Amino acid sequence: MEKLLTRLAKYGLTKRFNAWLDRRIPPAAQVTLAQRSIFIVPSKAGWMFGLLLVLLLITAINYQNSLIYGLVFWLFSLGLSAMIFSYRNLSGLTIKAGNAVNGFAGKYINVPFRLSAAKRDHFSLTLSWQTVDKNLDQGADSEVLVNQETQVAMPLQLQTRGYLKTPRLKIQTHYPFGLYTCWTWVTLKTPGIVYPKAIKTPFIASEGGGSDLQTEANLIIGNDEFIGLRSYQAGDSLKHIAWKYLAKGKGLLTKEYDNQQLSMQWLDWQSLQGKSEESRLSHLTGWVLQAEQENRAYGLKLPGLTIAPSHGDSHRQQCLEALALYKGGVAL
Amino acid sequence: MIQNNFPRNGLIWLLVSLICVYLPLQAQLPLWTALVFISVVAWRWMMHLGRWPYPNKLVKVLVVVLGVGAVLVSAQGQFHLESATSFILVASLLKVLEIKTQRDGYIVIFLSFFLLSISFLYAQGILITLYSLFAVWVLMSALVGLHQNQYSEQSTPVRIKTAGKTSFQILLLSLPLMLILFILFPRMGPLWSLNLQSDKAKTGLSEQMSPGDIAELSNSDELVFRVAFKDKVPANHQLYWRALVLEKHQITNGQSQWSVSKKVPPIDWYPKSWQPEPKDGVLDYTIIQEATSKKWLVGLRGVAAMEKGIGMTDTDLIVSNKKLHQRKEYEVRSWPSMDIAKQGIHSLTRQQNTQLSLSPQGTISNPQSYLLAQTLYRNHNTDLARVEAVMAYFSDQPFSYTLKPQRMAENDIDDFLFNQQAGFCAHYSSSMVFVLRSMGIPARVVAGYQGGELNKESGHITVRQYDAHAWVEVWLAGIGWKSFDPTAQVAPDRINLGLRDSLTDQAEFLSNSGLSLTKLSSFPLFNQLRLQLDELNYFWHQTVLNFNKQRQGNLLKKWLGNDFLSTSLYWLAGLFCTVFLLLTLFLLWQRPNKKRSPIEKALSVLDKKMHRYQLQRQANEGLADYSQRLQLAFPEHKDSIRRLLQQLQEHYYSKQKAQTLREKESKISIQIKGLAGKLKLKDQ
Repeated sequence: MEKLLTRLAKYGLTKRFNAWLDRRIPPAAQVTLAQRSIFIVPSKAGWMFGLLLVLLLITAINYQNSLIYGLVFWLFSLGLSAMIFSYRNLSGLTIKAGNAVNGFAGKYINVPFRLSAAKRDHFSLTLSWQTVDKNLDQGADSEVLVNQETQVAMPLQLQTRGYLKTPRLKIQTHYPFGLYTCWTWVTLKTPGIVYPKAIKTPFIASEGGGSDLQTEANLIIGNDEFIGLRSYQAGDSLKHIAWKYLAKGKGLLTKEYDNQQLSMQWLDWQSLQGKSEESRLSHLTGWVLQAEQENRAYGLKLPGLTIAPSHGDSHRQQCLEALALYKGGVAL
Repeated sequence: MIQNNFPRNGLIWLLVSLICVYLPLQAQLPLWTALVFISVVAWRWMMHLGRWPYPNKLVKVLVVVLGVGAVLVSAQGQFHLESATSFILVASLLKVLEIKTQRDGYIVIFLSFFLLSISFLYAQGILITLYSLFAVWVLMSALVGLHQNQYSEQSTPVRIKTAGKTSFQILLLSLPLMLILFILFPRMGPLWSLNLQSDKAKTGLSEQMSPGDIAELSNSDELVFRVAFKDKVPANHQLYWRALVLEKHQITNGQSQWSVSKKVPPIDWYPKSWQPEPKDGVLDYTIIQEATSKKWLVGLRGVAAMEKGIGMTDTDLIVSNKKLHQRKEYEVRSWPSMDIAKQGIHSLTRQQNTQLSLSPQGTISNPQSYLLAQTLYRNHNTDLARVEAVMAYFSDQPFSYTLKPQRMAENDIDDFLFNQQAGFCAHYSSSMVFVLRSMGIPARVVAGYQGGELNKESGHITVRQYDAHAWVEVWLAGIGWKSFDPTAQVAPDRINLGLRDSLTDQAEFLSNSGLSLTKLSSFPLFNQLRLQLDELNYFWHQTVLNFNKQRQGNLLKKWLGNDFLSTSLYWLAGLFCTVFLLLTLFLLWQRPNKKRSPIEKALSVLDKKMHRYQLQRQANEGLADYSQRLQLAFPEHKDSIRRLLQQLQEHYYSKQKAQTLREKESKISIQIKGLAGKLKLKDQ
């Protein structure tokens, strides 16, 4: 039954099924599970248990044995109560999206979730994505004790650039008796941005914009001339720290090179003509990473958007975001 | 799917539950199962501790072959309940040995439930029931243990406690429904005839008796039957429970043997059989007889079958049409003062009841006794006087009553009557019949039970194996069959007080039975406890164990009026439907309770507005995407839209106190509504 739903989700009726699920359990930053969001069906062991009950009932009838009758009825009503307890093991569980996570398409990141419970303990929960990833362990076991917050990080391979869209998170439990499979599919909106897949290629000098900076392409740090030392400022590359001086106890100093003024670079959309949009974005992403690594100042030119040359973490972030959200990202 | 490994803390529960299930079965199964059981449990535990390795394939095959072989050998090619039980037990034990995944755990637990129900076929007393409640709890806890997280923060003892607590809660919660089902579920007859129980010799009366057999029974305090009289309970010395009539005399190894004649006597099945009218001296009573694997039932003299499936023989006995593999409850009517065969007996019957076997040498056996018979015959004129003379012989001579008679020499009756003069009821009745038959007077041994213990509180009589007794019936012209009890001449207390109180040497009583409650009855406190337990068990048997179709009907009639029984299935279904309907209604009623937050409401206001411009939020669209789209559509409000988004995201993704949360929510929702008012496309 549960497999059937999963299979439905995988094939054929995917779209309508997902739309139905979305209506039933709308995407949110935080979900508290209740009867609308919880599914429950008998598990394989549950059917086995049913078979056992039938066998016991036949034994009771044939031997006219009141105690076996009693046992059968007790186990039967126990099976019904187990349904309520199984449901209760999910009901009331609150799942919150964790802090923002950014990453590159095609890479794995850990998507954090925070589970908490207000009323009761929730035991033996298994978390997995709705879509199965063969490269990953298929589930994380967890439990949530009342008034405690449990952090779970689910590894996820990022697919397309743009705002992070996580697949539905499946939280499943067989507790307490394993007679029922009880699960939920929640979509949690974890904030985050998926950058385009980085392709590493040498820089292509920008042709557009008539920039006078184009001649500085392909400059490499090793060739730069050492100018002197200045005191460390936040944001300076670790590579440029004068470690020997630090070791001598003269404090944090940064080595200054001549090239820092010179190695300006425009990373230009126009320079990648003849390639598809996504491929252009991937190349530009690769360049941003490379330029940052080589500690150049770089600017980014996209159609309708120009980011002035600079460098540092926040500049890098700004450029990558612009690339990720170009035309609003890729629609799923 | 996720591969579920076997949780280690579940193992403790599982091993304990196996022990719980095995203990009550142990007495029924061959001894070797105990050896297998102990070794498997110990082995599994050592594996758990990591001291012994898991069995490899070869060892597993070897163990399976050995186990199945042992079952087959002890079954001796027959399929019966014991062999099936041993097989299931061995199967679940072997499963325990190689238990690895959760699935293996299910199999062991489900098999254990089956074993538990099999143990109910053997014993159903109140103590075993209470024990089984405990066993069910352990089994369910083991099931919970299977599903506990292996990497839990809780320590193993805490988890074990949690499992026990959870299963206890659920079991308790399930009790009311169980009771309803137990009372309402329609009872029916067996679907097909099952006779899986082996006919292995149970202790109890057999259809063949040699003197000394009944003395064996006196060592057992096993329950045979319980009787509840409708009216007054007759005195102890009137309670001769007739079970078998032994007519055939044989001599094997110089010992006299009495057995039921092989000829099947004609049986009148109810309702064809004789039914006395209720009148003075007629006794109505109900008997709950334990399983015997035999067909005989018990009744007082002048017995009549009162229900279907029971018939009467011409020897004044009642029999069941099926062997009693289960406890049986039946109604009986007796008229002890009835004349039986007063008009005369068939010549064949006379022949049967005067028949005496010759010794292997072809001579008359027991010549001394034969001589005694001749003397008595000559000295008295009537048969009645002759019979009384035999009775008088027992009281005049120095006979004594003992539970531990010496083994008689060849010509056992001579040895008993003239030499040893100490014996048990079987010796007395056997020798009396011999002497009477030697005179040509029709006589037979009757085997059954005498007396029983009256429970003063509930008024029922409990008859145990040690109440087994044998006496004599003689046919006298003009009188018919008449009972005589030679034992009463020797040990009148045995008849008036019962065996337990008649023995002067208490050590002799139940001397081979080990510790038993009956044995402790000389301590007043224990005796009271024993009687109370017996009463409880009687109540248990009457109300629960014998809750059959008829009782169910009576109960429901009493509670709910006529015709309820025929519709109980509908009632049951109706009850279920009502409960589920109410539950569904309750859940539906709860639904509107789910309040939308002010922000959600404000967003829907915005959405309605945007619908006008075909800019409404898409089903799959996140807030960030939506705001991006709106920013493009309304460039003049770009900043305010972005600020709102930022606020929303901050609100959703940060931890806040409930108080500030509510304040912020209303603030943001006001802003959203304000924005909704401002947003207007210029060309409209």
